[in-house]
Amino acid sequence: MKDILDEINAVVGVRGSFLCDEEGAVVRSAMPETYDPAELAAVGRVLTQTMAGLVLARRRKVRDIDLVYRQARLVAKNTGNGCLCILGSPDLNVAFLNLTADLAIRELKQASKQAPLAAPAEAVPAEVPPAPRPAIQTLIEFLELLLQELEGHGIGRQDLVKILSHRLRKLGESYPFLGSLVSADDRLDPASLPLDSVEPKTMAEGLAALIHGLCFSLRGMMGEEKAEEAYIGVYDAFYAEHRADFVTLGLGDRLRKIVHQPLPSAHSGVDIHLD
Amino acid sequence: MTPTDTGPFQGMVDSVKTIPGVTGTVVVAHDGVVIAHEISGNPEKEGAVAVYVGHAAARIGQSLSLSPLRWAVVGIGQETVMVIEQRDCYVGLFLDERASPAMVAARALSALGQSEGST
Repeated sequence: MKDILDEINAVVGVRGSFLCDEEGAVVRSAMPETYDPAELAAVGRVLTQTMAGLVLARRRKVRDIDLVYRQARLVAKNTGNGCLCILGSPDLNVAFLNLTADLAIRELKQASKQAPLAAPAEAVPAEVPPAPRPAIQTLIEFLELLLQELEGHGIGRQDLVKILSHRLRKLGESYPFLGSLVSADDRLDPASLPLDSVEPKTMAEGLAALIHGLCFSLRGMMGEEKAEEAYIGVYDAFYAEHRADFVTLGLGDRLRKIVHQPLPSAHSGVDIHLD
Repeated sequence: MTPTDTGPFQGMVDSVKTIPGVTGTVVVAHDGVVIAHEISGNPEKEGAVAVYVGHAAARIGQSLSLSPLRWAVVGIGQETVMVIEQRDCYVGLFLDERASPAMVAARALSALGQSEGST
């Protein structure tokens, strides 16, 4: 992996580069020795926190952050599980750098698929590699982003939870395993899903029906146009990033259309009325 | 300057909003309060991006002794947001996907009174 950083450092104008994990810890460094590792760690933390904060604020993935100072330029590229930081001269040609850096990130992603990102030297390596993230988690994440977007439209969390609970009751007969999805503190609780006993595609169908029901209620509350705009805004960006998981779950791009579709009669009936 | 005296800040918006490639502008105080804007979306939400990036750039500049910041660009989804720090505020510029950040930055710094060679 050091070779990848060396390749980046060979780009004209690059002074050094380092790789951080998702917590911001420096896991590989090819920086000049004049830079204190503690300083690099602080930079890594700020960058990963900033990327995470921007994702929360905008519900979009951060591609990169480019900071141009009087005497240097720092480019941080999102690797998916951390960031690749490249320090160069202020006139660094970023388009040229991207040719190498994007290739490097692809190699890093390939490498991290084969083995998790190496832990910092002082950390004790885990004995058991982490289990792959279930695709169903992506759908929960989408639902959570949708809820956050709706909160941004002035619908309170408690009202959203009331709608979800109402919808879950309607779906109880078809998808009983969703019953505890909303926890006591009004958050979505993926741990409540019986992933061992229910097929992921069945689980996905249940969550799709829940999202469909939520959209149906929102159209009544916000009006069709606003509800569709809010939903599609979240969906399109999220789907672009997680298409593979949607396909794995057998959903394809089907969820894009549900905001326009009526509910199946078994799941409709009188809608909830909020105070 | 009184809290309602947004004239100079509106002037910043006016000076950069016509730069080719700029689709929206927000001026936000260092504490996150939006002072002036010309933007179609939610100015508070867009302003938060400028403050977030501006603060991060300042902290990183301090850690690596790189200050002063000239400009910052963040790519979020399909959007590109440029942040330029001023004495009392951050100026956030929302860029068209085909805009060159370097060209926009050069024009914006000039329009804001920060020439390429001085800060």
